[in-house]
Amino acid sequence: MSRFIIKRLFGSVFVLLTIVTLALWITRMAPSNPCLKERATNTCGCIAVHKLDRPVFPVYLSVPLEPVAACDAWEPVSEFSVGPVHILTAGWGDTQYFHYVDQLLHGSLGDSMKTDRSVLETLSSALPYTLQLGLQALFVALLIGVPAGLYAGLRQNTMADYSTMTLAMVGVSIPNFVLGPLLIMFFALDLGWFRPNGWDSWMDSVLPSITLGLYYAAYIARLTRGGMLEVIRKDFIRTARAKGLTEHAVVITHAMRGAILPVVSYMGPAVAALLAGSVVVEEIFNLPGVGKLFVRAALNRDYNMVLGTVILYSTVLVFLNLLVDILYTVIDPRVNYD
Amino acid sequence: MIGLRNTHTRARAGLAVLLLVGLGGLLGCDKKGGEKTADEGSAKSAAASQSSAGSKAPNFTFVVAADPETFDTAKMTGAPEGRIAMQLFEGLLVPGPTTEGLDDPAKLMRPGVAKSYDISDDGKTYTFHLRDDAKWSNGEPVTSADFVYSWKRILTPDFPADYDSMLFVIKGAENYKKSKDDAPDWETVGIRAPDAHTLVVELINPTPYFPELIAFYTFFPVPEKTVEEFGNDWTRPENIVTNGAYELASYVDQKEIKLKKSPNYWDAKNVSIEEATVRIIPDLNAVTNAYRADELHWTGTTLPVSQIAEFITHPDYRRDPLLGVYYFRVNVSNEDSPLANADVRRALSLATDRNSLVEDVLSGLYEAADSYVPKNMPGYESTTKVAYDARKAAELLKKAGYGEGGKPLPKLTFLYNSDENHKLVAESIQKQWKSNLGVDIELVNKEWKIYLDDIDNLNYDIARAGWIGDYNDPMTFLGMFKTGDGNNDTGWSSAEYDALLEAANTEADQAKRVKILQEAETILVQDGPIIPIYFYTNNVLVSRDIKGLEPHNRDIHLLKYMSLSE
Repeated sequence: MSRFIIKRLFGSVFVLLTIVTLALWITRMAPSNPCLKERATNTCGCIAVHKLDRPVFPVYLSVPLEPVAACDAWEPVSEFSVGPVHILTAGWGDTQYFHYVDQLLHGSLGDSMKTDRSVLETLSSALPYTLQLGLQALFVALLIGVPAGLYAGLRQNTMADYSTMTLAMVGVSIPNFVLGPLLIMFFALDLGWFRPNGWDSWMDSVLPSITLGLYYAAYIARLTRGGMLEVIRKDFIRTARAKGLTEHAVVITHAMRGAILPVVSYMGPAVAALLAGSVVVEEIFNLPGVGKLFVRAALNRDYNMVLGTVILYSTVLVFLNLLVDILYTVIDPRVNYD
Repeated sequence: MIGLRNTHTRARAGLAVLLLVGLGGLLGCDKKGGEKTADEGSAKSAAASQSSAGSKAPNFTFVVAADPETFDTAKMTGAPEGRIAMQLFEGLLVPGPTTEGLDDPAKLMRPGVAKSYDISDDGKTYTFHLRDDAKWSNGEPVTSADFVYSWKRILTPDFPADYDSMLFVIKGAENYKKSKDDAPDWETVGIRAPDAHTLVVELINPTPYFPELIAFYTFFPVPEKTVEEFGNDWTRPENIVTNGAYELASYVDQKEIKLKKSPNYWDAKNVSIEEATVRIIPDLNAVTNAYRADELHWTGTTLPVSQIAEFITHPDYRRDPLLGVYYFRVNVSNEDSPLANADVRRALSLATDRNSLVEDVLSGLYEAADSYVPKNMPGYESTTKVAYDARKAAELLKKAGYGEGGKPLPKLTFLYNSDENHKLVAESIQKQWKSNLGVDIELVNKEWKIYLDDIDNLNYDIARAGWIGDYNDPMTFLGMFKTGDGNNDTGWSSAEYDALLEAANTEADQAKRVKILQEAETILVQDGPIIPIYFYTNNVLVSRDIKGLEPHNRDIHLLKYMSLSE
């Protein structure tokens, strides 16, 4: 088992490095750059500080960024042509990629290219909000989804089943950018029970958590119902009933455990999706979380901040996947990675 | 799906889920007990007009649209930063509370750290007399050496100050900044401090708007000891030392900035508001929602048509003047383009019905432009007027060899950054030009940064643009179209225009100077690369509980002039 974990950890480092490489390349491919402002400013200084005039990789096709003629252009080490393709090269140590990875190896995510704060500092200020939002949304999803699924599953093909599942279908279908503004309109502006946006007390997290969690509640309800339908026909349930147990005892002590199994295995991907999926909800409710940070960073071409957020998200994902794989061995003895 | 085999592991899985959920609850408790802004249960209707705005906020609360990039006045460039800097720091002079009813720009300024100043007869040497009781928030005195240190810091060749060019009106400043020497000679720069309370500044030209520049944040002093001790970290709330009416109490990324009154400020006895909360809300819908929920005293930024339309009858709605112009840039750099012909550009300008645009499309929120330099510029009046004349426009186009009887005008692209207001304008103008001149316009909208990139690289035909003046002098609008200016971005160049600007710069007599600038504006509007559309106004919501938040055409508002009635 420990060999498996070590192997996976090494694999994770490789996965993360690949993600960093691709993400770095994509940020640099996007048109425009972090130093460009509406008014003419000291652009050359900004470009020099962030080394944006350097090539991204040691072998490259087009000249590096040179938005202002007055800036000193970067000189390639060599140039040659293969057919119509003009290829330039630069020393490894001069590239933006080398610089970034070097920085990562020294444990730094660099400084934001928009603000004068470090990426790590900004991310750690935002992360608690996103974590809390994601976990509360998960709680909402379970609190609504599991009972609704059990309720429907135990009354298969009745009116109760159909109406619950229709509601779940509606829940899955309403996007959160529609649900969020509707909740704000009714519960914040009309009724005044909550604040329309911002995050100062626990009350302020209620509407965002519901907005984010409702989709997953609907999905979990469908999963639970399916699990219940499967379990309720099993022999051990029939045995339990034959023993003369009350229906209540049969459902609670015997059937339910089996019914929520699919939900348990869905938890890993759900937590990951909730953390990464809060982008829209954070925008709507103006929450100071990672999702909003990510959107602003991308729009501002704040390369370091974008990469920092990507690294955070992918680390969480890789870690959760590993955790789920390990949990499988705990849950199911048939799974053996050695 | 994975089967569970024994109850033991099942219990463990259940525990894990519980733990996860519990953690969420814990985090929730952790952040409880912030301020009591969410007075839940007090059900009220959406008609916010019934109650008083900001009544739920614990102290004076307003909005900035983005996180400040920095609190270092030497490095900042944006509006959110400027709004905060104006409260935290103080220059030699400070802007007065209002620009209303002022016809002389010189009267805009009030004493700040300097209690008075003298100007030499040639208008080129300013001597500032600093007050004795000006103090940093740590109690140390603010002296002329602080200003010399701060300005020298900006002019240090490799110091990343975006607005370093603001200081280039000072003798020797530009050469010093651009020097390739390791140790350029500071003696060549016209900044002297003969004693602790006197500062002498020598300018290249008589610059009538210098007092207003001096009140701009780039010219603010920074605390030498703190900057040297903490380096880049000096602006953190726990380190920062300021000399304005307020101190930086706290800052949470993406959330809020808190200001508290500085007891060491020289004029503290006249500062009424003790604490202020600055909320960071980029989404304008969220701003109006928060205002409706009585959480704000002031929306802070100007709101576009889509947000403000339903507030026009609201008693808190205000339309304040703003020293800004919304105009179209025309790319003249491509000689094959019809737009290189000044007659075509004038035809487009004449074919633009600005009044109908502003009244019918933009709900009358702005003021149709009749020239390029905004009307509310004190001490200046444009002599050239742009007007709507579709017939003359068609004639001009014909004269240029296009339209009926000539070559057909090729399809032109119109570039704007994605935004509801710009879209309204673009679509309306597209229709007007089609019906008045038969010109086909293709609308192209791009995300902000790509739009900037296209403008910068002259990769457009016609593009929307906006300019908010940096000081109350026409030069802030006209100077940018000088040949090769970093903000020109049209490829336009006129030797005659450049010469007029140069003449205005060296002219000491203000009346003569205004005449020269009027001539320059005439050239710009007649032959230039611009089509003025409307003059901006500042559409904001301001609680009636706030006193002293007066209209200011550069949208500068100092908290120290304001008070909050109970």
